[in-house]
Amino acid sequence: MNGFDRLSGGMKQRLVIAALLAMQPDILVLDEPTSNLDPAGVRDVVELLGRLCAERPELTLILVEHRLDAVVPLVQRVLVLDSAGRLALDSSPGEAFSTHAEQLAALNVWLPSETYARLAASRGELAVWGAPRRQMSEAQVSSKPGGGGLSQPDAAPVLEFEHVSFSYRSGRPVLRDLSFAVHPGEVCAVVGANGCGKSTLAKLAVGLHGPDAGKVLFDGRPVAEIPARTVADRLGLVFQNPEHQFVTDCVLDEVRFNVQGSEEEVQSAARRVLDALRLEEFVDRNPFALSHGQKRRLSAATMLVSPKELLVLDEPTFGQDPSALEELLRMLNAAADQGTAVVVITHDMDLVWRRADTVYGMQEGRMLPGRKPTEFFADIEHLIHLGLEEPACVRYGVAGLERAGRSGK
Amino acid sequence: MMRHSVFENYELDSPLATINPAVKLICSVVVMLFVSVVFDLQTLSLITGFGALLLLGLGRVQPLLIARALFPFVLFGLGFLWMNALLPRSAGTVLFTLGPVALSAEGLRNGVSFFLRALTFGVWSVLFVASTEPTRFVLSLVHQLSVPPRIAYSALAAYRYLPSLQIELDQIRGAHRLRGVGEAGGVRGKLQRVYRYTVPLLAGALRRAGRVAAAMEARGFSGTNRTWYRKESLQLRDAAYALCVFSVTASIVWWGMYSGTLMLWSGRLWE
Repeated sequence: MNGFDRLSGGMKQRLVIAALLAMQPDILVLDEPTSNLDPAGVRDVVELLGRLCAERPELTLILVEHRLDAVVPLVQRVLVLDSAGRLALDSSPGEAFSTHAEQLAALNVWLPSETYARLAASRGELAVWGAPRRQMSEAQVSSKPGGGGLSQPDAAPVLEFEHVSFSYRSGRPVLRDLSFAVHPGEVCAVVGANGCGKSTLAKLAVGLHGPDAGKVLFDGRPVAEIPARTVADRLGLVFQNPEHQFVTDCVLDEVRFNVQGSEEEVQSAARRVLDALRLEEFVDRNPFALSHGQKRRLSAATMLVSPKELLVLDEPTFGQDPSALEELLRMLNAAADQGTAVVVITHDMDLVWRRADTVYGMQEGRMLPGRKPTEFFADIEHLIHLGLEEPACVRYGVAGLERAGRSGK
Repeated sequence: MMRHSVFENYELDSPLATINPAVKLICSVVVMLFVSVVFDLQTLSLITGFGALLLLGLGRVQPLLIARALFPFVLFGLGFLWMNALLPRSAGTVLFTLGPVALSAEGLRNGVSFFLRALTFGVWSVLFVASTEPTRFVLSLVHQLSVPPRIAYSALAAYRYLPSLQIELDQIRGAHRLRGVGEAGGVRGKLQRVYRYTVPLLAGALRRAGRVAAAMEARGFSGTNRTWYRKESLQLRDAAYALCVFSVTASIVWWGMYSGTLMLWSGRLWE
């Protein structure tokens, strides 16, 4: 109303903190203040909190947080709750993330990347987050024509944007002359600052909006021309807000909805995906009665239950614990191996580093040429220009360790 | 957001926008209350015209914007016109008949009077809405009309979320289309769709309401011991505005009385 729309995510968060500080509180409680912020926004908020700690030593800050890399340097005490809500640990951060690291990992809580890497190394594991999905040598990749990191550049693209421009009614242009293509079996990541047009891109990719200029082609035809009956069979979008796509009153029906096949096939496919995403105990629940993380997994389950040609995921990591995220990523890999083209929109640079075949940076509605993660993250200046940062695992010098699993052999 | 453009385009530089919102509101409400007992066409159209002049002159609202805002009122008024012209309660002078339908002079006059009244309501509502910044309105409710800040700020918060409901509905519709939910026709299909859209909308709205309530509590909007960054006060021009509105309206009525055209509600809806 008064121009809040024009503030970036980080600015909004800082504004709220300022409003609270104006009341001169003794205790400030922050519930995931950096969730859904782009890396630059996270940096802004963390910087502000750091300054607060220094200037107002009498102020008590209580941070509830999953993304630890940025905030751990701020804290003096770490409290860990287990899944039953009991206090599992109360210690200094130094102790919590070194001597108690094993215990924390067992509790399925997020750890700082550095801790994770050390823990994995001490166990003799090479790749920290599971095994890579495809074993392809650098030489193999770079010898392909174009060499842009495309996994199957010879095959016809599933999804193609040709000079697409788009703006919402009477608004400023959101997408400008944007072109890119996704091939079968390719996992491609789209990254960029909040408000650069990523979510809009997702909506155009699945035909929820039509472009003002240019073409969005799915399987060689304008995506809007796919008959409504077959849309659900051929492509899927996992929304940021999972509730929007629930159409039934029970979890099992939700997953079975619109899946073709015999009764047993459908039933077993639904059970399989629910088991994998740890939703098996909730089959009779109403989708709206689940927790947020569970809702997001259910929303992904509905898209993963039957094979699709294209899957678009908008911020899949938000609100997931490590093992749930791991399972979701494993299923995405499996889908990609079956030839599904996957587009992941995310602020999670570690996810991009580990999983993407191709990274597309976006800035103010424009798309930069796709690059391999290794190339993309090598150019630090470029990253900062985009409002991004290098993945924590790269920064902590354990990148070789993690990336080795993907491109080795 | 764009669908509520009338409410978003306050003409903040106009003289009308500088008038205290509470004063503006009271003036508009008084005029509208008065208009509901006026029946003759001359007085009604003059009061409507006066409102339109204020809107264009003092409010500097673009005519196109006014027309768009008045559209629902016009539709409403046309409904009244139609009903009254064709279905009069008492048989009067029949102008002409079309099959079973008879158009009477009294019915037509009543209809036009209802239509004009709807338009008057429209003009005087737009007069307030199009020139008032919501935050200032809420502040003046608290400062001039002693509305508890808790209620006033809640109303402001609710107002802020209105456009987001429309956006959310669009998103739900899109998400359901992707799930392969056909936009089935027929009454049953429509009912099913309403149910499917309502549950997520309601769930989202309830959760948001809870969050906003908690946030308002945390930020001290409960209203005790508040200090104010901005304070709405009454100025000379507010008195001038009220005086202008009431004296012109009174003159219109007086002229109607003088020329014998004024017709007030006599306790019956139809004579």
